[in-house]
Amino acid sequence: MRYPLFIVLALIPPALIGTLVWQGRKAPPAEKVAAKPAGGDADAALRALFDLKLAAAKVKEKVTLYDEKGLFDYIDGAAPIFIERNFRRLGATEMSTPEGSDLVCDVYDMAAPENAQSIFDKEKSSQAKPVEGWPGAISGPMSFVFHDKRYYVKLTAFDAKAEAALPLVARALKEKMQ
Amino acid sequence: MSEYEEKGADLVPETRLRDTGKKAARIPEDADRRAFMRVGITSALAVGSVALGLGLRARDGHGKKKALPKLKDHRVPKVQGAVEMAIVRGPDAAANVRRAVAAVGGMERFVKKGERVVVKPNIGWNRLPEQAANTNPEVVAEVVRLVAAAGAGKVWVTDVSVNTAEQCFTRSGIEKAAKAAGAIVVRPDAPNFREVDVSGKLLKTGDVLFPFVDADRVINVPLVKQHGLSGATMAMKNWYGVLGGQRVKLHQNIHLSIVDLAAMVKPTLTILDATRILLANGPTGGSLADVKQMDTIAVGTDEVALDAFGATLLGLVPGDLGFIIEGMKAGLGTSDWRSLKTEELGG
Amino acid sequence: MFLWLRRAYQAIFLIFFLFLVFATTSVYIRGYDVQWFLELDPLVALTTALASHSLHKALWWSLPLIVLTLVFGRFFCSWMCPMGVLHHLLGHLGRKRKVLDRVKQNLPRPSHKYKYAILAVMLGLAAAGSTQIGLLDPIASTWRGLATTFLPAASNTAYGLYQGERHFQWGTLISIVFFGALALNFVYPRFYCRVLCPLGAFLGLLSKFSLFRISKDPSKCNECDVCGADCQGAADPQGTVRATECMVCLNCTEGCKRGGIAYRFLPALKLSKTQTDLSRRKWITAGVAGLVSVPLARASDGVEPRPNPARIRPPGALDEPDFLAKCLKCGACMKVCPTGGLQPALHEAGIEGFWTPILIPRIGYCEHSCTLCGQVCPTGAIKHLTLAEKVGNMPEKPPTRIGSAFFDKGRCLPWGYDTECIVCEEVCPTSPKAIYFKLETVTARDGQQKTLKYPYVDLDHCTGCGICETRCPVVDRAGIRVSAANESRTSRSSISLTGGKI
Repeated sequence: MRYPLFIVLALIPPALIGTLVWQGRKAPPAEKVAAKPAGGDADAALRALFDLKLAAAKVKEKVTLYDEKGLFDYIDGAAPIFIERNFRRLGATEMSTPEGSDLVCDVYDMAAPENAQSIFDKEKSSQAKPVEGWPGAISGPMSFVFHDKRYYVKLTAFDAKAEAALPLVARALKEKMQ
Repeated sequence: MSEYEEKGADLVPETRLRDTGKKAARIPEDADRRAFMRVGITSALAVGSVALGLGLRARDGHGKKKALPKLKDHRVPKVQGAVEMAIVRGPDAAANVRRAVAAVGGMERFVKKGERVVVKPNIGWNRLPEQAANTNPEVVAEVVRLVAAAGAGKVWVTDVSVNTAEQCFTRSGIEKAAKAAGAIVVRPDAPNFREVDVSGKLLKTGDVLFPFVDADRVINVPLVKQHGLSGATMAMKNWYGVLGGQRVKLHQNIHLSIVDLAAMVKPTLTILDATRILLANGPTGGSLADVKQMDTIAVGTDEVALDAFGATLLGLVPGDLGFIIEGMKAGLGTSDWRSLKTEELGG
Repeated sequence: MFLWLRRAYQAIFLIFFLFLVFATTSVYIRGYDVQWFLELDPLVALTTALASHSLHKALWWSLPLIVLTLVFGRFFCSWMCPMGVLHHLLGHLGRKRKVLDRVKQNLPRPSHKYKYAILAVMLGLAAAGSTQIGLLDPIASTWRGLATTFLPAASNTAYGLYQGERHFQWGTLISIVFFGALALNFVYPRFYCRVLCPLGAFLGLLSKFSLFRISKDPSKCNECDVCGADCQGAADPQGTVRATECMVCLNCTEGCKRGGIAYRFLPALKLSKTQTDLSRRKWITAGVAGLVSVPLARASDGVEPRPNPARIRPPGALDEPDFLAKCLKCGACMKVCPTGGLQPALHEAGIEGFWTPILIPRIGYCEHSCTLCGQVCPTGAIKHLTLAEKVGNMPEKPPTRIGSAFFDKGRCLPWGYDTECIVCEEVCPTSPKAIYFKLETVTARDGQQKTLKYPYVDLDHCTGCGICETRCPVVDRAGIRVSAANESRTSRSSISLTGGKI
């Protein structure tokens, strides 16, 4: 009885310690730094959306990018509802039709599709009309709003001619986002 | 009663001595031996203490007078008509290094058989290779291979990191790559430093890693980065990495100190790694958004010219960088790199 | 025969323990579970669970030990405990030569009941939310003694070969406690284990009704007392064996030449004494004393209302009340920190925080991409952060902040002396940098116009890592200093109105 017990007890420490040391010999894998560069690529992607080859309207000036601080300057009190939904960047510019009518184009990069959906639902006014064949869009007097992927887009016109161009601009932007 | 007590107490000791005969003969010997030993020991102690005192005094004075070593001039003689600077562009960094070094005459022109060589990359920061804070490990490994193939007796790879050396050397990938290529990697541990004579305009002495004191040839393998204070950190600024001690004080006159160090080292060859360069937030970097892939290697012996070329990659004007102006003034080279015999390869 | 097995266990476990402590550096640690002994310690599991109302998953290792102690008795003290082995060795050296003198040394004494009182005090403290067990727990104490005093001293003497130059503030106090406890073995063997060790007390309580026990065969006994000559636990084998004191060292079984003492399965209960000498009243008094000292301590120092600016906790540390409920002051985080910046607090964290880890940036900074302190913390007082959690991904995700940097414009070289510098900006590891500069032109004392770079801190990006303070060339007090303000583990520390960006 004693000898088997002795042998069992004698084997426990080497087995136990051996397992612990063996398990520990591999170093934990070195964690990679964030693969997606903060800012860089996403900003370039946002700017690229405005590169529309469209006859109905052309970008008048260069696209301005706004971060959180800039957003307050641009839309003042409306900014917090964007920021609490993980707003990342706003690309804003003015476009004009061949006749010279202006329209304002605001593309919000909301970092993730859920956020774009959320802000779309929040801002939707009761007077807005759904757009046929496009569940993610609504149109109202002088405005066209839609969301696609992680972007939320607000198009604003100032006269009837520009208003007619809004859906065309919207579709062109949507195609660019695919 | 003993016979002495019988004969009376007034017996003089000499009588006792005469009576005992043999004993009498022995006592003077004992007395002499004891006296001899006493005299001997005393004189030995006296001589010893005087010798010790003189020896310690000599040591004290000795330490102050000892001359500090200076670094050797590691340059090889210029060859008339040879290509002085090579710029190679291509997707394979190691191949770029090989082609560029071949264009300036091959490593055999710079390293002779049996020579001891130290390869000095930038291993300053605790970053991964893709963050472009340290030299590309593939470039370092290729340089080590070329040096070894040229017949070097010993190849050291070392740097004095700013962050913890252990993490810089491993996370940069340089220690592993250098060891695989056959180099001896020297960590900047305290016992590895030697005090040297810098004799610069600004710096008089410094603590330098021993490979730089012992090596016959020194090869600079810096990368190209933006730097807040000096504007950029490339070939000349890389020599900060030989220094230990309180080197943070050098920033009070950064351009002159850069030139003092570049003048002290006088490297054999410089291989400027512009595979990935750091455009902003240097020298530490961190964000991949600040890194630009340039896939370029520039090789030459004129550090000022190479730094001027590197500055253009960062979008800077060489004449705006103080250490380039000071470097030219000190006669270390020329910022007009196009005036040198240059070869450019790759698109 | 089993005696030799016991000695083999002692040797192998001590060597394993020393190996694990030795391996706890950024160079050697790999994936070793360096805290295995502390995870095994049931008292650590019990006190941290009481104090924090949660059990760190690694501490489940203590369950097998509890079960084995219930069955086999207090074998841990003689067979596995690293402190126990050290004390056994020293006690052996300090033992008296004559057998009868040794018997006298190993007699049970009234002072042996103090460890139960200490255990009660510790449990009372834990019940009120303060873990102080690390001060006297043998494994935590050995960890601390080796990590902050012995190994740094050895390494520094050997030209820093092991871990470079290392210093821990007021480590002398820790030395005095650690080596003092070891020196007590020259008063009588295993003084600490018999009088002070709360883990021994706890395991002793668990052994009250152990199934296996040392017992005397009265028919063989001739009252020679030799069995007590080498009794480690002062368990009185020559009389009625004290089950709570016996450490199963088996020395008595060899001491008795007549085979009268043996380690038996279910011996008669009347052959052993199972009560401790501590009366029920004293148990309760000690427990209550522990319980009430916590509100008293917190009334004096406070945990949150006026935190000391020097109380910069390691990254991943829990909010302070939870931290104090879990930190064992074992010193492992201080040892593994690659820059040596984590130091034992003295007054910075109040009396409860004595010897808990704080960062002293003048000594060492927090490496930006390093999470080793969280990796080695046995109780989860410091969470093991992932690299992404520590570094963040600005501007979307903020990093883990342990504090913020503030300029002392009277000492900073550009601000105070119109001299170029900005080493702080150079070494700042964040992207974008938390220190930026503005070019300004000033008139120097000699009338010359100088254009210099003047540094500013951007509190949105500053993580409080402290490398700016470590590297600032202004000696003694730096021109830029980090304090705990704005640390991300508690919203109360925030400077900004919205709790996020300034």
